[in-house]
Amino acid sequence: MPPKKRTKTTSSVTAKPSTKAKGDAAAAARGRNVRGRRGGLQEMPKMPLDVLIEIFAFLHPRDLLNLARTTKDFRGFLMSRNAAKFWERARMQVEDIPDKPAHLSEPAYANLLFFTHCHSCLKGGAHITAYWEISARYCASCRQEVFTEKCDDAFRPIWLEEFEVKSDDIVVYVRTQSNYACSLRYHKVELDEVKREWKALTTKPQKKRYIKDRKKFVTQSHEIAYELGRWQTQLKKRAAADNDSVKANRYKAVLAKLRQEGFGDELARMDQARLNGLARLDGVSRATKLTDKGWASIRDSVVEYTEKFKSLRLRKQRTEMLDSRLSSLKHVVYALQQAKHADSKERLYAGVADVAHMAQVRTIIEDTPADVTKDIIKTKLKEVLPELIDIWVEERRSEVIDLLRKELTVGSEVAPESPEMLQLALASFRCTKCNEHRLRWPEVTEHRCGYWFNEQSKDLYDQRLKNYVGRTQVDTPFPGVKYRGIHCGTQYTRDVISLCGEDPNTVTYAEMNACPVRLACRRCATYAKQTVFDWKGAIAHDSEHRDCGLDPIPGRWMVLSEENAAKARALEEAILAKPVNPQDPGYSDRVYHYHCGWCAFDGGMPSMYSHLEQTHGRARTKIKLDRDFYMTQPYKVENLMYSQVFAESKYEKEQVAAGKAFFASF
Amino acid sequence: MGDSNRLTLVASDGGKFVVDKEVVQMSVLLKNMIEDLGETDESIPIPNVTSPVLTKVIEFCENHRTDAARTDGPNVDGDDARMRTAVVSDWDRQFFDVDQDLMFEIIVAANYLDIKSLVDVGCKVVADMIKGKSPQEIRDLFDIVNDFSPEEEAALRKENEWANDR
Repeated sequence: MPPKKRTKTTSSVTAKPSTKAKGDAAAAARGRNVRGRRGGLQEMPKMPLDVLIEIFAFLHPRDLLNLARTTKDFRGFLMSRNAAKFWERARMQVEDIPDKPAHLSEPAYANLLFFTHCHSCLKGGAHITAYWEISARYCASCRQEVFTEKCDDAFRPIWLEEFEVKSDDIVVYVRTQSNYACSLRYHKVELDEVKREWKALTTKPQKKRYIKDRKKFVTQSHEIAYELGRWQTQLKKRAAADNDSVKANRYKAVLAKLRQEGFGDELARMDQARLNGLARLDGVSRATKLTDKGWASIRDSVVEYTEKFKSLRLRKQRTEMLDSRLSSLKHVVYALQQAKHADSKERLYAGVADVAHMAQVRTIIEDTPADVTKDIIKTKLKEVLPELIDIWVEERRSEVIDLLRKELTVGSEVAPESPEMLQLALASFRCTKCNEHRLRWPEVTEHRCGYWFNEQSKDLYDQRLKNYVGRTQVDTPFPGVKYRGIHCGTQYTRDVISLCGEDPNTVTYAEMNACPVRLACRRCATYAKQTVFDWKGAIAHDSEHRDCGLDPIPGRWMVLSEENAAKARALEEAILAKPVNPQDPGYSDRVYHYHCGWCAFDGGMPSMYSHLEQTHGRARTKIKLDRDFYMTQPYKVENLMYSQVFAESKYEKEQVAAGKAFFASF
Repeated sequence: MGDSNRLTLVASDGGKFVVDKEVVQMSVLLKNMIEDLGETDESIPIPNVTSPVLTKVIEFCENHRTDAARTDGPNVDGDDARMRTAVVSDWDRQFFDVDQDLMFEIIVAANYLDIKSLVDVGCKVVADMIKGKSPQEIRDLFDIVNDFSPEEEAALRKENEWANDR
């Protein structure tokens, strides 16, 4: 029969008595997901001592201290000096841990290193700092209570005079750092203790010995603090590295899951920035292993990120495709129009946006497979555009004719539709938005004051098209109003034509331009000078007198005598006979107006040069009149007619000599 | 005369177990006893171990009989390296997936019979149950009543000195 082994046991631990209590505890344990079944290990402290030693040998000092805080029995057992070997063995298992300072017990050392609560208020949190020098941790608020900056004041008389020692040599100091400064502070408890001990010393040799011992203690404290600080830093680094490693593995696991779900191709397309964004997602960047349950909880957000990337990528691809094709469209449209209108008298330029919104064109640009080359796209566009643009021109012509018919309709007698209507003098339009008054067919169609580009469109096609249209190429009329602000006729125009002796409903534009009648504005006329207009100038001048209201004032215009009208016509011809110098951008654009030969842009000379350079890439030195741009019909200038009375006046004489005015009797 | 390679173990409740000598010799206590007794047909009583516990102990020994690391002699006290490197295999975990009463008895029996590998694995399993848990979680796990008052519990976090120093 084997000898009975002697079994050492600790004192007993009180087990929970009631079954219900056990059940509750079990439920609580299940809630905490603790492993193991309920049962007899409440008797653990009664286990043979050598078994307990074996168990404790596997534990960390932190676990031992937690165990010592469970019951009085465990505490009594583990906090006795006999238990020192358990603590030491547990401590030795902690990698690179600095040696225990002599003045700390094992549990105190474990508490200092592995429990981060404030040693004063016992609260936990991130705002707690370890002060290794004094073997304590304090929170920000307790720090104000437990430290003092005043040490020298209390000791200076004694130390300096008798023993030539500084307070920092015999009292441990710590460095506290606020947002603004770093300062030395002393632990009040220690300071009080030193004061008390010092007072108890009576002889000088005693005091000298005390100082020697304190100096040694302080030096050791700072050495320990240095070691612990270094250990803590290494610990943090190691923890960070471990964290990074776990995070990296989790991230790889997430990528593997995404590949399993068919996002491999999308992941391969992601650049590093996108992948980093994925790695930083809340559910991905955790330092825990990815489980199936964990994946289920983060899957939606991860897939959403990946789907979003896919959507953005596809949008970017489509954007690039649209940009390339719209650019091709722009060049094809410009080239077609330039070739078509080189020798044409009737020029109407379709804008890129006008063309881009034609259904057939849009189909070519949007629906042709992405792998079709740019050249093939251009070829397709060249095939369909001439006819489409011709149709578009005719549609615009019909619109303008409709406007004229409304103007010419008297009562119930509707004017018949006729292309010749566009030749009437009455077919002159004025934009009530910008006050442009020289608008005739076809320029009136190119005038887009009443049009806009829909900036708010959610359609990617519209958004990309925006980059390829200029101010004259917007295509969308303001909602519900066609040709908003464009008016033809008006009673003013009719009155002026009638004053010139013609019938407004029948006289043509060419006939009116040949009309010798000249008019002067009674509102502007003085005894000294009068401003003289031809019929178009008079209509334009109307807009300068907006106070006239909508209805013309009877007798507002004076018809010049034939003698004075002849002088005015002679001066006009002299001005128009001045040579045009297209190379001189400063040349007066008051007389001439230009139209781009590639698109619907119109303007003065300087702006035309800039436009041709910027929009059509034409070199400034190679820009040629009647090829890259052409002159629109010059309008008659307004001239000044000075009274003959001032024939000897210096200023008037100079103006007349400069070809800007003439003298007349009135 | 029976098979000389097998022995009969008798549990405290009278249960008999015929076991290979090789398996029995994983217990340092029984190994020493066999050497002292020499060749014998006598059953060996195990007074401190019940049949259910002995069944589990024999199951463990049979499973680990071929382990290279099987102990052939008493371990040197304070073999921290052995402690730290004790590996709990999946089989071992499955083996200890039993009621805590039985687990406790298996460990005590292993300690009594001086089966180092079983003691190590058992202690490691218990230690793993404790690791990383707060005092309250440990209490819940082991069904232990908290006999500290709230004031005492708060003071615990400040009192970290040896009991006899206070």
